[in-house]
Amino acid sequence: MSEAARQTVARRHPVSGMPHPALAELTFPTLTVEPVSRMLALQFQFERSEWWPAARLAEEQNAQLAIVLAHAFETTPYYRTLFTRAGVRRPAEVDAGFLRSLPITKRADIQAAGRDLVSQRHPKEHGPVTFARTSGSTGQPVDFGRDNLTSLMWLACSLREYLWHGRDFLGKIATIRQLKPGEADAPDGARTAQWGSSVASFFPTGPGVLLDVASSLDDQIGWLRREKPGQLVSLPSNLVALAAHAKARGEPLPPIGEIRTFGEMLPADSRAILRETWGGKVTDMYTCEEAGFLALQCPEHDHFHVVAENVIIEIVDEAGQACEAGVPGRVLVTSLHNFATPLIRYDIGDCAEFGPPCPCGRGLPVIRHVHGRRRNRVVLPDGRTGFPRLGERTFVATPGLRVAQFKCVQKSLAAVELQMICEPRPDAAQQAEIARVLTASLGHPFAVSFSFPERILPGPNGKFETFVSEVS
Amino acid sequence: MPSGHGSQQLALQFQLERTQWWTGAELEAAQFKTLRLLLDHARETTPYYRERFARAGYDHPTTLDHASWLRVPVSRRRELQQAGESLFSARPPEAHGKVVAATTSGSTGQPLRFARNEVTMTFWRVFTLRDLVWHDEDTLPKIGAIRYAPVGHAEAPHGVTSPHWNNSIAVTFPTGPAVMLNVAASLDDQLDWIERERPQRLTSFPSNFLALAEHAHRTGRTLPRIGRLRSVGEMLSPEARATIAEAWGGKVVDLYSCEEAGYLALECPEHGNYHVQAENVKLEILDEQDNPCPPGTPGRVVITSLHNFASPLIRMDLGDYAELGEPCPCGRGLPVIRRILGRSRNRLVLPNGETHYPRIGEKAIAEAAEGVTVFRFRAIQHSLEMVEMQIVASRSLDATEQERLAKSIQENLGYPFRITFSFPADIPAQPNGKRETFVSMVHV
Repeated sequence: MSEAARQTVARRHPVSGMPHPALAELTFPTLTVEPVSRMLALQFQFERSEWWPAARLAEEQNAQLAIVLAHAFETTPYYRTLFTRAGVRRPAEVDAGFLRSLPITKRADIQAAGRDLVSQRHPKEHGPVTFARTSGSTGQPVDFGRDNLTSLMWLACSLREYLWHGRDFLGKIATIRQLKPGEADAPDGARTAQWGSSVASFFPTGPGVLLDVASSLDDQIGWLRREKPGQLVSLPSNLVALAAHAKARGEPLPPIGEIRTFGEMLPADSRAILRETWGGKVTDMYTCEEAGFLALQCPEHDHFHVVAENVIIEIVDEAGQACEAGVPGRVLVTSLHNFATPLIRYDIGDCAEFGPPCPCGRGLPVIRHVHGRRRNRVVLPDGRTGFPRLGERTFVATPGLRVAQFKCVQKSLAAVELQMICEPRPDAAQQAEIARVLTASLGHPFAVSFSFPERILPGPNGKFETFVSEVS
Repeated sequence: MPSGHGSQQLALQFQLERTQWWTGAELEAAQFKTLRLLLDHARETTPYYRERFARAGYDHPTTLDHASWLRVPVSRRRELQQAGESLFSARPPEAHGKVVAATTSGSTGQPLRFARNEVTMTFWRVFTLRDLVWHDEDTLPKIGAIRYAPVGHAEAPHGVTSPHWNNSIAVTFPTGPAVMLNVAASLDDQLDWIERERPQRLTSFPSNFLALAEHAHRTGRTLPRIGRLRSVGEMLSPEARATIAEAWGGKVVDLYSCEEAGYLALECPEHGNYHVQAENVKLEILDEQDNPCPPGTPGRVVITSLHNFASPLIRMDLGDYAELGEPCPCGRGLPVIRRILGRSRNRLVLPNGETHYPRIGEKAIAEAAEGVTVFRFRAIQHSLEMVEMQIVASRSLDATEQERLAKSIQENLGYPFRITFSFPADIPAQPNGKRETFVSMVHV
């Protein structure tokens, strides 16, 4: 890789962006202490490894993979059983071919595994394990272990994304996302003195402002006009709705330097709409709650680079065979740093396709399209659309019920159906309570019906969706 | 508090990867922010500067800029040599770690006593590492060095061997082994040692690389091929660079450093220029009236260490001559030095015709006698039997002191030359700017 290519990231970094100093008199360069030092040491390494050729990256991945596989086999009952049953013998040298020979783990397997997924000998040096229940955005809650190492990698990948895109840390960042009622309600939202921890823990930053995504589009637009942020972070569906709303009213939105999306698929047409509406750069990322950052948008192109230092991504067809670039398939994730609940060839329920090597010169694999991850918006009788807040955290936790999966389908402007895979089935009183939570969360008194299918199938994109509106 | 830990080193590299692309103005603004604090510290805690600033009627403004910086008094080397302990801060920041006094080995013939602490050592390592990063050097190969070392250390035939590179790198990266030989070894011993050790990278003085090449040529020995040749400690002329590269069959990479402030300039990875390490020192090239010299005009090298709060080194005349160049086409904003003059050495000639790197025992000269400050010295070999020691000092040495020092010099030179002493008022630089601490009038 040419020196010139490697310099692109460094040159983009704003002069104001020096890290938090340990001592006021040593700021050029800044003498740092932990945890800042370790984080920047990781970034320094990323800024070299991302230019490695694919073969070198694979070599380094395989070395780490061998450690993770040995750990999973020796300390994690689920994998020991899985590998033993499949007759897997660990070879002297682990490579991609060996990884491909391992059985795929689906979400249902992990749900069934329960605590068998947890390592019985978690390395003490990785810090205490906490269990996070994925929010159920795919409808099937799963418990995953996290520790200091997975948190560190999460922060490191997040910061890397900021560095790639050369953001001015001293600017104002606005975020419109799902929040608890009362946390950042319209019209004023909430303010923070700093950005999120993945930047503010390491660098001085400007302020942040937050608004609940459930706010009306008018409220959101009014708020953005008042706040004038340098960048806006939100769900693609919400941003597209804002753009459409403003266009319908004939009121152009004030330009914003960068629009950043997360949490849902960003189709090319939506990207074009956002670019046209705000006149700035549009940046997406690809994450999952279980393994953190999977891929980041290339600083120079619209496609993604796999965060190969964090995960191994495979894309396979229905028969489990590797898909070539350009062929969509199921996304399998192997986490290189989760020693609490190892994730090996884990099918996250997304559909994506690889692309050819990127002209930017980075050796990190390219994901050209992510097809999954699209949530529909709920349509209200007056024609307004909104982000579908379901209150699932509440009803999934109904005492006495074990909810394996759910999906809410809007059947008409007046009715929704809640599909549940659940043991036991809720009784009449529980159903009434769940319906109350659901309609309160959706913000409209829909008629709620219940159904209890044996399976809930993924949507056309291969992604399990918790909300699908049949009203267009 | 500060430490040489790997993560801290890489965190600093992360920043250096960025700061090198800043513009000259951005770099200078960042320097002034630190220098402003350093000037406060120096005036408030360091007797030498308190007095120096007061004498010059200098009081620095709240915000430093290019113009106000030029009013900061320049200290001649002799003034700092005379300062002694008053150059040391009475209140070195505790957080900067333990203060250790050091004396330059006197490679410029002008020994100086100054202080180091963990912060200055940390920054020393940072630029050692940057040099490797710039030149894309792998840390796993075996490296060798033929350098100055005191008598009895790293002597031929074996030198010393370490399983790792020095601490600067080994705290951060896994490294290969390192070997070192005392530069005072005979040329044959050096060649034997290189053939046995076969380092993939060799560090030495340009004069030593040239002498080895010439010796091999003259005696019909084959010079070992070494891919990477690191030149340190002396001026490297373009001619010498070309000769060394050709003779050894490797790439020559030079650097410019001083014991007091560490790395001053590193060779550009893409062009032949030297880039001032602006994150370590403020380096100025000044004329005799302390005015900045434009690019292309040679002048005195005056440096300010950004991180030494133990014995601040502010606008110190280093005794070297250099000239600035135009901005480098690589795009780095770090200032460019086009040529470094000064600092070179002749070789000592023994009666049997062998030539040696002249080890004269600078430390012993610097500490020649109780209560004597040595400002500058130079040894001149007048014949195969006689060496004259010129010393510029606060007073002449008496007969007993001369006798004691002569004995030390003889031991260091490795031959019982007759040593004479002279005590001139000054030893001026030569017209080409070179300051030689050892001159041999004997032609081989």
